[in-house]
Amino acid sequence: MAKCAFCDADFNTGPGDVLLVCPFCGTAQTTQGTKYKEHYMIRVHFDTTEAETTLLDWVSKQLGAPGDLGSVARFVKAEQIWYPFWVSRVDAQSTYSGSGRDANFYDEWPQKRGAYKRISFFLKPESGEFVRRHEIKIPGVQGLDEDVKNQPIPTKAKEYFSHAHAEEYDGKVLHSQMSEEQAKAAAKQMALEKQTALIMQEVSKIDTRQDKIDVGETFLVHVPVWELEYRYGNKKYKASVAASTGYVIESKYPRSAAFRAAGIGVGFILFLVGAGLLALATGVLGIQLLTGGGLVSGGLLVIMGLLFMYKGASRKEAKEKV
Amino acid sequence: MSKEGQAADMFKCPVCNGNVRTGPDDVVITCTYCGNTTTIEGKAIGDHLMEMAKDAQERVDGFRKFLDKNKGMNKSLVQGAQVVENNLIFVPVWTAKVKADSWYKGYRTVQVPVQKTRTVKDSQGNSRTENYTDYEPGYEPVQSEIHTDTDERLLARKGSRFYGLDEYLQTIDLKDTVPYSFEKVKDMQPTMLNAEIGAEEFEKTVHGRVADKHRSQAKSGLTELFDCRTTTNVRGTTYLQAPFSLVRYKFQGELYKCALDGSTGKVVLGEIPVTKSQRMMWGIMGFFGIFLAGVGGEFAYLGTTLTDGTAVMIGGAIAAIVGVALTFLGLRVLLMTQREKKG
Repeated sequence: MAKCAFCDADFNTGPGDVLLVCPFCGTAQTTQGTKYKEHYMIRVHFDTTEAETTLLDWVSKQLGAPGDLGSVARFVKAEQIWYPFWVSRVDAQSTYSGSGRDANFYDEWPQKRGAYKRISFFLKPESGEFVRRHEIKIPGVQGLDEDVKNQPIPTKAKEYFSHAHAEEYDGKVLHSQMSEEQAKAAAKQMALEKQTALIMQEVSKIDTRQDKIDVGETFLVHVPVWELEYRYGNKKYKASVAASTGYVIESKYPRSAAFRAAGIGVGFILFLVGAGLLALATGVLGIQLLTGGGLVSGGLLVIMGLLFMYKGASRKEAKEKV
Repeated sequence: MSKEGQAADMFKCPVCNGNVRTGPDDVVITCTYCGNTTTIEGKAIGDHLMEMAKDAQERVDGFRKFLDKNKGMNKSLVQGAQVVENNLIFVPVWTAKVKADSWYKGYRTVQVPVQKTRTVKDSQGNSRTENYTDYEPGYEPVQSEIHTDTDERLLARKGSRFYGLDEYLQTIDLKDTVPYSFEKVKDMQPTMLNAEIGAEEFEKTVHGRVADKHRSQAKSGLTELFDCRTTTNVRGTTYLQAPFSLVRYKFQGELYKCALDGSTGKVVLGEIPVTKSQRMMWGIMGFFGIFLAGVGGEFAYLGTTLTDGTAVMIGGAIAAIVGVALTFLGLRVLLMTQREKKG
């Protein structure tokens, strides 16, 4: 439980939540009650029905999805979750000195001028500088699904966070488990690691380095995502759809019984025929026939058969490429 | 439902004094009244250009042309495609010429043919020497340079990307631009986005991007890259508002999308459905491939057993290779979700 420092209302918080969003007045605040101003959101452009329709229409084109999915699937859950992300601009300038690899070459090949028979490596002192700007996005909550975590911030207008807007669809706004200082520190650390990776491309050992890492504007943005669940047949399937752009972040989906049967059945037959041809070609059965053709066709049929059976039996998530 | 509480920032245009509604993180603001563009501190940014946009109908025409070009045997695609979304958005883009010079050093490994002799025994047990070619590694020192002068563009929004972005940015050409004027495109009701990334940040970003590109290009042909030094020179930094349009369409109840260059109304990247009959056709093609590969393989094998069978063997091998390629091509289309085509 926490008490809003601005409207005095009590509201629920989870363990580890440090930047809270009051569900009554919408003010983002630290646990000590300091107001946080750089708090934005991306507006919802797809309401519940639109998100559901978009999802089913999109999933329908997946390989093996049942043809009646759009009309038969029933939604059992449609929850709008607002995920917090910290975005920082980091300017980094690293000067370094260390030792980098180089080589001497001996004994030129007479057959190929410019190529040598022997090479010996040595380390030589090297120094230099890398100046980079990094843009770093860190999720404000831990344990986020990888695909939700890696979704780009939608190319839509950002606005100051409005709780009234989140409430239009009963949105659940997640508090950030990371404070601004922690987010900045994490961004700094990530930028430092990126700089290190750059330096390590030039030298194998760093002797001295100086980094000027400047964490610039940092803001918290809440991105709305529809967490949906639908029933088709006896099973339920989960999906995440970006509420501002309608992109299907990820979705589990059913495969029709006909597709599965065809995949496994046809795959098995192809596999058998292929294996038979291979057996004839190699003479395992005592007679040797079609040695060349059997090997090639048999091999192809076996591969195809295995692939079909895998497609028929496997269960995969579909993700929209952005 | 009320849309209150958005508490957008207000920015006072230094030229016309108009109150402009802005996004919270915008750093370059275009006045919605007079069209002047300044930084958030009110400083001028130089040229502010835009590409003109095609209206919704022209975009749909361009979209249908794309479908027509890529429909394949699916004759009903153009008629059957039903556009469900077609909006226009002017995205902020920074562009500049980047001249970059790299010097690099490394080595690559090559195979050097070496003539050798060896002693072999023939079927009668007599020894004789024969010549043969062996390959030994050679180390080639490489010291070279890369010089480029390229147009670099960056979407001026933080942490943001959209479908077809890279292909879209490639189409942007300053030759097609006009001075920014909201009046000229207002009737199309576009969404205008301001820049969240300023000129200086952009220049730093493209410096890094081009330097990294040079490094990976230098690395690509080498066994090991020892050193790579790049200097860049960014010039002609220009800010423009470029029209982009995402068209979503339904075909036989399934949803697909296309990214359009709003200035030409042409598709830059789009998804094309694969119909059942197309899958079937490619499936049959795959099976034909298996058959062809089998026949080819058989002849190739026969060729090796015949005394004068080189021609038969080569012919068979070619047929086998074509057959295998056909099989994989057919299989690929048979199992793909959709095709993706560049415009």
